Amino acid sequence: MNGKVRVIGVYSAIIGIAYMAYGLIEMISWATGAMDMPLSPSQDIFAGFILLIIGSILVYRIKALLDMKYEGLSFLLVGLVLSAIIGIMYMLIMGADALDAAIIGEHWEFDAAAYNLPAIALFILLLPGWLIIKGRDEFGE
Amino acid sequence: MKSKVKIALAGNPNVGKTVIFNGLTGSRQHVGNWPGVTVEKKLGKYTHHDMNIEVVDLPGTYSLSPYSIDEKVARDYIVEEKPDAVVNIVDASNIERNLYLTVQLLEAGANVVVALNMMDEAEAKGMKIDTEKLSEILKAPVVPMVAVKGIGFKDLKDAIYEEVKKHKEHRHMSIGYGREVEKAIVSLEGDVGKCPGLKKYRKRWVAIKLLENDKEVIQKVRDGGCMDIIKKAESIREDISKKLDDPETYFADKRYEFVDDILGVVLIKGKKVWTFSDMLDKVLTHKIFGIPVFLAMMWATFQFTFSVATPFMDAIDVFFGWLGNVASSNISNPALQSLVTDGIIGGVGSVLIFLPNIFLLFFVLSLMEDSGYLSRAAFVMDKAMYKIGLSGKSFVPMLLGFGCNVPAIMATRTIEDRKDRLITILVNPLMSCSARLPVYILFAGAFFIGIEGSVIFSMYLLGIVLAILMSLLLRKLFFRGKPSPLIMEMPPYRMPTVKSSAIHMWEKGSMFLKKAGTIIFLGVVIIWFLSTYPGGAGSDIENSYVAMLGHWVQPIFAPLGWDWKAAVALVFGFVAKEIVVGAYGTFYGIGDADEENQILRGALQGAFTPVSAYAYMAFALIYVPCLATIGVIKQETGSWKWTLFAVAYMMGLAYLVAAVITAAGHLLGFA
Repeated sequence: MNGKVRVIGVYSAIIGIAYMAYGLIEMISWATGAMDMPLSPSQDIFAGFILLIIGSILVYRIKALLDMKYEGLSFLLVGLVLSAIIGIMYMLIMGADALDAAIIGEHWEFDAAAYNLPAIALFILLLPGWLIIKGRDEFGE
Repeated sequence: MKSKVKIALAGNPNVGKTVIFNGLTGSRQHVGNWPGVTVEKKLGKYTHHDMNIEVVDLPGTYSLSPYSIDEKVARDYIVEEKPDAVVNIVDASNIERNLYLTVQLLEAGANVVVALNMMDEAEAKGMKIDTEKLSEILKAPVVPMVAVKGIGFKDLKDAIYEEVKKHKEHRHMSIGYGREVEKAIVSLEGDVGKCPGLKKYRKRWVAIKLLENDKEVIQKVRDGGCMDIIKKAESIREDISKKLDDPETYFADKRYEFVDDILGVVLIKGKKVWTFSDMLDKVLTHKIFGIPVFLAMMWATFQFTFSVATPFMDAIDVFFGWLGNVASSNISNPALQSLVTDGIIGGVGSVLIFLPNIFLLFFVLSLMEDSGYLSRAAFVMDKAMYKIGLSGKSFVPMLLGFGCNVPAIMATRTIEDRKDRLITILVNPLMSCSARLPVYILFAGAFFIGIEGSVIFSMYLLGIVLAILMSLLLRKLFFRGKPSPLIMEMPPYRMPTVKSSAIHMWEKGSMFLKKAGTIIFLGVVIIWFLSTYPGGAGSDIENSYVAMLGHWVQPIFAPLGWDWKAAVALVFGFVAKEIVVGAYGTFYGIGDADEENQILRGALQGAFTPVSAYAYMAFALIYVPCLATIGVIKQETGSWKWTLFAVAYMMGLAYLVAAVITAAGHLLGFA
């Protein structure tokens, strides 16, 4: 288990850093206006702040996680839960917009910025993190 | 013929009482109030074998000592109404504290069935409970349950059935209170037995309560005309005080000792394991991350509420557009046609469009409440509030304010300190209730496309910040002193069930529907009349009564960049906030349009800039929420002075904040 925790722990921390980076980009883009990027940010300061918080939680007690301590596992668990809430929320918004277009008879198009594609992608990329939770009995104080 | 029986559900808060109530009664339930108080009374029914069973859900209480309204209601029902059985719901994972109430119920002579709920959580904590032994000691059936998963309901129904059938009137489980005190209890019991007015109560219970100096029981004895017993009890009480301890503390200690003794026999504690609740709490109540995570949850709530409701809103929009067309093509009388299409369909329809948002908001808040997260939110905010001199006890009524300010202000009754209570009442209307949501959605949808959820969230945030600042100011100016500390229980996290959250959502959201059919309907008909006459149907609104009123009020709002329609909508919003939107629907006569929501937004874009629209949203947030709130402020403060003060400060603050937003917007170069 220890080796698996190490691999998934480091992987989760990398995803955490990606969350933080994109959160910062979102916040900066709110202040500076549109950015010329492949995945243009939604310029929503709150969305950026939330992504930054998720990333910080995933990274904050990474050492404790690698040391097989419950405290580290706690931070990973909350990071996973928040990532799921935000990721699923954006997917539901996307589904709702598609349904809305059908109701009012308009053509629906996928908009990477409106549905915060990076938040959905990071949620999916973080899913392997849940594998650690299954072995939580092996963690200690 | 089936027999009719009454049972009551009693238990500590957050033990799964509602889930068990819903599980027993299904949809056969209704909600009212207990006589004379504003505590909610839930009644339901179910049938089991040859028995029709009425279920009364008592308020959640920790004990039967009548310190709060909830405890008084629960105790009065048990000792006065004497239900055929009392189902005491016990949280198995927190059994020590929960059994205190069980012991008190048995002492009061109730026919108790123990529903030992959350057995899975107890097991997760490594606890093993010998339920048979527990039943033997308590002389009451004990049913292990995991109510959220539907486990144990059949056994519970059978146990209730058997218990009612047997009708064991005189259960003899008694706590030993020590030789000397027992002698006094027995002696008093003899006297109580001779008092004709006390025949319906268990003698031992009355004797113990007299020794505990229970004011309510003393009054019952006085009403029974047995003054001698009161004098005798007083003298024994003094004796106990001198020799042992304060009688109230003494009896409570003895009960806890008894509970400890029981647990020594029936409970095996396992090694400390971290449960999911422990792990979640490590972060969700963390000193750095607690508040940001709370903000993240609230933001996600409003983002979800706004965005996911859109297709449902548009479906309602299409429906009202169709209804308007049908009405206008079938009604030939111009005045009646205008009343139905522009007034009723345009006005009420433009408010009902927001029904999905309101239902979704309540659904998400119910999910958060049922999961146990809202208790953590209160806890993390309490720390911050106490640091700046505010009472943490205020936060729970403040959170309720997100739903409706009226019950939220009533909930301040749980705050004992008068200064803390007054501050909470006065700032509670700043918490953005669901009635303001239609205003935010309409304006955010018109002016802040793409970031509507965040703009709406910012309104809620603004309300919280203003409430904190105003509390601080009121504390410094009028209510000097330290706030009282908050002591609260953290229930374990639970997976919320869709059914339970949906029932909560319906209970709260249906209030909006009732309002739409009553006060909003009446409001828009009045607005239609004022905006149609004296010219009559089809005449220019600029010549109507409402325009006269609007032009008269508008100069006050002119510095904020609002036209007379905006001003007059705010005036009518005094009655209920949703009428602000209803008024716009009527002004623009959009009842026969296919996409009235879009047309309304287009009309607003011509009358506001993003800055003046944001200032308008802030004004709608801050100025008096509705007439009902003013009424409840008067009722709860018992003072016209504080009621008028609340109205005046909210109006002044609303204007000030709107002016600051307008000025800042212009300074920063926004149009």
